Amino acid sequence: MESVYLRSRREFLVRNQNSDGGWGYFPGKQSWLEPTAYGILALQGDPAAEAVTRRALQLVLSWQNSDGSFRPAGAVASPSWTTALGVTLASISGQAGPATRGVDYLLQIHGTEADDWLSKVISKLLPQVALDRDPSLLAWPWRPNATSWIEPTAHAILALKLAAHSSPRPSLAQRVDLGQRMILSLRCKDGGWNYGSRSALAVELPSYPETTAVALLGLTGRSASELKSPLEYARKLAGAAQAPLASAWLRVSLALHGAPMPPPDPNQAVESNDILLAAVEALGAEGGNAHLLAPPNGDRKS
Amino acid sequence: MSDQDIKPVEPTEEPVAKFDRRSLLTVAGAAAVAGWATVRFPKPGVPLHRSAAAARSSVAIVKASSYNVELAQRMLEGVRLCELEVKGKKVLLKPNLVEWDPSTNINTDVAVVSAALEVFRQLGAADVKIGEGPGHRRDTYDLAQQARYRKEVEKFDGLFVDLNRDDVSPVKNFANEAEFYFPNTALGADLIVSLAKMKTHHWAGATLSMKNFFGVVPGSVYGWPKNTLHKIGIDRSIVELSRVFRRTFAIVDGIVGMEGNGPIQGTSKQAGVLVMGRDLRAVDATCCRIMGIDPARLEYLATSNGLGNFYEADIQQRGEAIASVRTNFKLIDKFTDIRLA
Repeated sequence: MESVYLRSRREFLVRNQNSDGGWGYFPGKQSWLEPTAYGILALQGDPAAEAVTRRALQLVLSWQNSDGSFRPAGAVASPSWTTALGVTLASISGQAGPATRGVDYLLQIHGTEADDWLSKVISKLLPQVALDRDPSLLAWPWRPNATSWIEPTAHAILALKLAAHSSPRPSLAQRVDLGQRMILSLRCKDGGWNYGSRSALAVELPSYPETTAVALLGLTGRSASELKSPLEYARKLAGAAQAPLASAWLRVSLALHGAPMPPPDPNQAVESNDILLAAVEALGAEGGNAHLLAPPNGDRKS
Repeated sequence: MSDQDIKPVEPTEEPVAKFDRRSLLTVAGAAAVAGWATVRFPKPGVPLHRSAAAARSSVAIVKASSYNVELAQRMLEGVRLCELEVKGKKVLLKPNLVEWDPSTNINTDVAVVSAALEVFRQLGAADVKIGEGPGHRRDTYDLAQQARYRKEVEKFDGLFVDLNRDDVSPVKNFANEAEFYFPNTALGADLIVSLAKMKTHHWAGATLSMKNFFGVVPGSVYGWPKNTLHKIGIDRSIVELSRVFRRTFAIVDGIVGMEGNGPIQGTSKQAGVLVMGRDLRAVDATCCRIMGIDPARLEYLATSNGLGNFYEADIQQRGEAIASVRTNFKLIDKFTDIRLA
């Protein structure tokens, strides 16, 4: 039987679906792809929400641009990192055409640091010089023509892995590997991840719990030796008091890594009007759908 | 909200900044390869002529030795000295909420935010909201919690808009972008009060009331960090944002600011002032003079022609005199040449 925790969050989502089928970040606000994607994932398989998720998925698919990218919101035409979420949804829901077009787009995109000729020359001629970014580790930016960062890279990896399961291609596995190595290379000294910068002017920067959790979403399938220390750090974070969003992401992420956190209080009803938070909390709840983010037959390389 | 077109700023007689010998691009040789990232762009020199355009701008400097004094009363004095009309307006208070580190002073202090809320309500604003869109942290509410905003500003959650996740509308012709998106809360405000922090900045030289507008760029479109602004250029982005948002007022929290490697990793520096004004360029130039920084050496200030006054002669200083509150902020090595004589 569904807990109050899960039921109240799902009901909150159903109650606050916009008339266009999507969800805003807050009730009554413009629909955005991010809360809509996680709303769909949180409600997937809930018989009472079948019509709700169907309408939401239709909206997301209608936001795919002709180049395969997905817009971040109906109000914003330009392509963005949310393409990864569009591909994830299309893969999970068996929409092969949109998934393939989205994958093709993701494979074309990389951060501008990979095109920086000076970094490329230095890394080739003077490998002993520690650059902030290794230009060979192709990863993903928030939007085209920008540097790559942790969060969009983690989401793109997740999307490519899900897509690779139904349609394996060597290029997918290669980009997944490069992206994962980029994430590993930008780990902060304290053990976690921030947006994607280890230091500024030679001073170490701290990590953030919510970004650490998202970074780990992109690292499933790496070797135990590579994951040992990051997972220990994430468990340490999970054991301490965290803000709701960080807790929710840590719960999803650690579940995907097979190291689940203790379940939240099953009687805790939804407390905030933050739709993305409610969706991620529902996704990571006991009986929730976090497993949807893992390739169905395990985390094999395509 | 429909598309908005930014009106170009009328050109003034103020020329493009000149560049001096020291500002020539330093190209590091092979021996300096390891430090290549420190190669600097030129700093502008002092513009040749004063603007012929504008009337003098009022900038108020009010002393406040700590956050425990009666801040609202002093802030009110400063706002009145600047003859700001508030009655009936929809006001958005935009603090600088960036990261949390209890060992230093990164953010606009919560006491300043609370005082501003009280002052603008007292002055008859129709509505006062607080909005911010931090550039690094996804969880704005957690950051607001850590900075004590949620605890100490009454009914904070009901007043606050996460500008990273607000509804947005496009604005045309922002920098190189045909369309650029901004939060409707900011576009729809009658008055945005830049509640900035007085800090040095390791890329721009200083971050004050104009740079604080980076926080109105929505992360939901541009990400965390808002890398598009860096691609456009930090200085140019500051100027472009000032072109978009013209109904503004500045209150800079210099009670305790930050010196050295700002805006995040510097050290606390007490300047003991609030600096206020309707002309953000004039406010920032005044803050620089208080911090011992030559405003003419900051690219964004020297190139924001037509967006306000800049020269001391064009600024009517109210309240305290600059000389009485000047306290040099430490500068990192790459910025030693911006020190005011």
